[in-house]
Amino acid sequence: MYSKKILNLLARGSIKTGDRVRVTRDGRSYEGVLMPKAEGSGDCIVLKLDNGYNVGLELKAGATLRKIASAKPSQHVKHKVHHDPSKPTVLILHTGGTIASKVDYEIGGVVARFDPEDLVGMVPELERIANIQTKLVFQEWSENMTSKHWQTLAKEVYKACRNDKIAGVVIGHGTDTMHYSAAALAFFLENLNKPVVLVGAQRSSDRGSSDAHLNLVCAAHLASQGDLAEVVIVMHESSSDDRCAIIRGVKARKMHTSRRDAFGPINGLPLGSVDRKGNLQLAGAYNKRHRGKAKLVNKFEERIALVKTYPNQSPKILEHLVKSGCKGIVLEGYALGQAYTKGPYNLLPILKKITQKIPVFMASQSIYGRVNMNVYNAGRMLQEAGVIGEMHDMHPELAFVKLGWVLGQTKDKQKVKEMMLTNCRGELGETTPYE
Amino acid sequence: MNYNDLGLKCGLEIHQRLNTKKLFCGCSSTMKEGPTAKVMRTLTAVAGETEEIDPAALHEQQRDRTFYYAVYSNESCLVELDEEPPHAINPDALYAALQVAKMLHCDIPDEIHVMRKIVIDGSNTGGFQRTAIVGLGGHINTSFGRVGITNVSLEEESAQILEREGRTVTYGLNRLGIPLIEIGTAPDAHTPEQARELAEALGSLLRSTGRVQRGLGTIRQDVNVSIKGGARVEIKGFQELREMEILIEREVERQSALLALAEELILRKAHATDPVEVTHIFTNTANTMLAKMVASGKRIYAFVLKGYGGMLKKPISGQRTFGRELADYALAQGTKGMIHSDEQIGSYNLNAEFAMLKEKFGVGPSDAICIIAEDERVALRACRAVVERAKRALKGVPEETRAPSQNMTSSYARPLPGGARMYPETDVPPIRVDKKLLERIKLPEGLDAKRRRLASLGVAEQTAAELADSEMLPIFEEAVKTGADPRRASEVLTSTMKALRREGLAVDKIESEDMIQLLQNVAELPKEAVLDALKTLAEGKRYTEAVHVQHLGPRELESLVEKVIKGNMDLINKEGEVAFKKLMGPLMAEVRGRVDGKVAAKALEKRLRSVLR
Repeated sequence: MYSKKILNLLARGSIKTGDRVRVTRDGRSYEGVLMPKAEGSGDCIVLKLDNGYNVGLELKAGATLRKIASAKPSQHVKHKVHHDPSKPTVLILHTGGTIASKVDYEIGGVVARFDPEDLVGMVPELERIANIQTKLVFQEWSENMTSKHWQTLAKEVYKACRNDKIAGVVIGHGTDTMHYSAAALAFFLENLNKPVVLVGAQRSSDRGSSDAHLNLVCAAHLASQGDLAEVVIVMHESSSDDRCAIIRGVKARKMHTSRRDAFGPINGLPLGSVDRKGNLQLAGAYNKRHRGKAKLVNKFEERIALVKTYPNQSPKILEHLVKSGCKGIVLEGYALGQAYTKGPYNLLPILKKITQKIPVFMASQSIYGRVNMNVYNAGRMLQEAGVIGEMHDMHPELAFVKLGWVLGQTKDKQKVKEMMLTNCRGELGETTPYE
Repeated sequence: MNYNDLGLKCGLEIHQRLNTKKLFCGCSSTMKEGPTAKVMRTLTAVAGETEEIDPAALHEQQRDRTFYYAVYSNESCLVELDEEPPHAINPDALYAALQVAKMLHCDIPDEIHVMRKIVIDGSNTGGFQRTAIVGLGGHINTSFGRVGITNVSLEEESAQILEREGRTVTYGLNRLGIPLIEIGTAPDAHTPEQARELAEALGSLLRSTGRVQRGLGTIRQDVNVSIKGGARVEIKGFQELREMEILIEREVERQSALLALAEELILRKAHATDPVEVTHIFTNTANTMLAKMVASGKRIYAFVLKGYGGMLKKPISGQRTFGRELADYALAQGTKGMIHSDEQIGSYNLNAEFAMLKEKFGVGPSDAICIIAEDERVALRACRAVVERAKRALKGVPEETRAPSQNMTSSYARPLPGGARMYPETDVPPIRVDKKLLERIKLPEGLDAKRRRLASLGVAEQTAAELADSEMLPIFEEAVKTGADPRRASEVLTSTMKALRREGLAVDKIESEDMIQLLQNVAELPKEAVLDALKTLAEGKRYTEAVHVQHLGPRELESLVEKVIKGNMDLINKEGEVAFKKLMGPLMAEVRGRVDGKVAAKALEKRLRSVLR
């Protein structure tokens, strides 16, 4: 933002950002378009010179700023969506994120700014694949999403499941928490009857190299023609722009901060892959499309916590959580499922107390591999203290979402344990495949 | 040519690679490694900050190309792969750029904004090049007066093309992201000689920072040329200053010719028809290339340039004809080119077909027929591009970017890019240039001061002058700092290198570290050994391979002399002292490269005398 001093100066000259202005200082003058101030010093005005470059110029004593011409109105053309009865219909739900973002010159970063129609305008190939219906569900960066957003989104998907005219659903979503949303949607939608494809981008759509293009096209192919009834994530299979991997929502995890192929399946294999031309390969066991009725089960216990085990961890953290009303905890322990069982940080006494009231479920911070609390003493003692989570292969965030969902259905301790360790949506694997 | 009457205006854009690490990551800028992996990518045109899509960007998009990027383990990382946001700007590169801006008396912005310049020819994985203006409105003094400096920028080098096949291009990521300083001048040079002087002056100024890379390709010049009534034409990327003068001359010739052509075309009321498919006329053609294309399903389109007859064979610069200018536009669209009726149609075995076309279109002698063969979409696009260019000829010279071509002419590369192709690099916050930072930027030592300093180290006066303005200076400094003899080292870096360069040896390709190592030992090595080592290093070998033998100590030399003498006693007894000359050969064969020839001769002479005595 510009400083007060600059804003006053602009107001006096009735200058708005976007106007063509002339700055004169130290005997030199510069003409250009006054840009909004995104970041940096509020005392420098940002001028877009005719060669396209921006420069920041301080208005020192004696400097003048004059308006030469008013801003040109922006020529934003909205894309019109056409209908072709011979093609299947795909519903694109829009929730925000990089996939539908562009540079915002006010705040400097990339922001969610696209109307759903813009998505089709941006990727004309979508129309060659299917009739595109779009709906803006909400506009949120994924780090700001809550379980309420998942519930709202699940309702929209549920509506689409009941509409026979819709072949599949594509959900544009921020990538940071996409695997939480994917898991939640999977649990919330019982007996799902068509493909539900979450898709995102690691590079914003305003750059020529954005992965949004390929990801969206591949997602649309899968949603329109895939013989699949699962919640999946479709993102780059490798760093190359050739294919996208199809990853079961309850197995997916974002495994890299910035790469295009950040998403991978944890303790499982991809369901398949799809390319730009629509060549689709599915493998292994997966649910196929059907005409049955889907059911919406979207109650969720919000008051749960995911707690990572770490050296010198105070057991009081757990105590505090329970005191503040926590209804369930996923403990992200070491490797096979270990945590402090001796010394000043011994968790056992407090665990014995709290597991009387709320479920404490063990997942592993190793991410890959299965929890097995029978191998070491610590694991056995933790089990004796009431920690559940034996022999499962759910990664911590998946276990977290599942626990919230399970607690949304039942408060019964035994039932919670049973449901947590029963496969509902393909989230639990009986075997750990060798990759 | 009277450049004054023609109103010639030339401006330069110089790009100089820096020897720091890369601009937005910690990768090495040395380009020594081989690739280890490959990644495939595509690019799409996107709107810039002002919501318009730039014509240059669109042009590239129309060519739907696939790009492969070769990955290098230390010379590229996820930043070059567009898989990781840029790190903070390299402080050494920024320092050098600010030095240059200061030396050129530029106004330095109070805030430097890194921009994304849209480039979708694939040479940047992100689809843009990161670039920032660090200086505006400066000047440099020359023998022909003051030349304006429009901008000094700091930007990323692009990836270089390794391979091109159809619409697939393979780039190397090792070059991508190396810092470049760009200097843009006002069009204040009015003759080719002045342009050359200006380029030399700017090159010397850049070298004075001690931060520039040396060798082929590390400096590139673009030149803007226009004459009265002509248009601004940018000729891209040549490295030889000698070439620049000729290219400017040719461009002046071209613009003059196009202006004359425009007058003629207006008189003839020249215009063009829409392209029509004529593949059927060529089904039995004797032209093997077209026959092959038709057989593989390509289509042939024809259009008529009414009133252009005879014009297409007019040379407009060097041997380059107007027809060739038009064909460039067809080539740029991804076709194999264009055939037109002003060419020797007989030599293409196309007489019959062109006769049929003439009849079909009712074409007279003042008209020209053109054909283009390709897939429908590409062919039509190419036809339209050529027609547009032909129409544009009535207005004189089109603004465009051209690339140096054979015989010092240039060929059309793409339309001149507009300002719309810039938007902010939001991953790099603006860099505040406050007083404190500016005060820290010290101007590099001037040429005179440098010369004096070199002389005080014991470098001969003439050599000092040469070395002070040489890109070899940083190597010299480093070598001397680590123990090289200044006088010998300076001679190697100037006269010796020059002589070897003249012999056609690639001495500029010698790795800096090898050169420094050689210079450290230069005082102990015989001259011949240094020469041999330089020759070997120039072949791309490393220091340890080039200087494998330690130089001979006096005792070893004596024993070798002894060996030669003993083996030739008959000769010595017969010829006496005269045998010396005949013995030098076998001796040198033993000691070459390990001891100076003069030293060997002295030792031989001494021993020979004592033997004869």
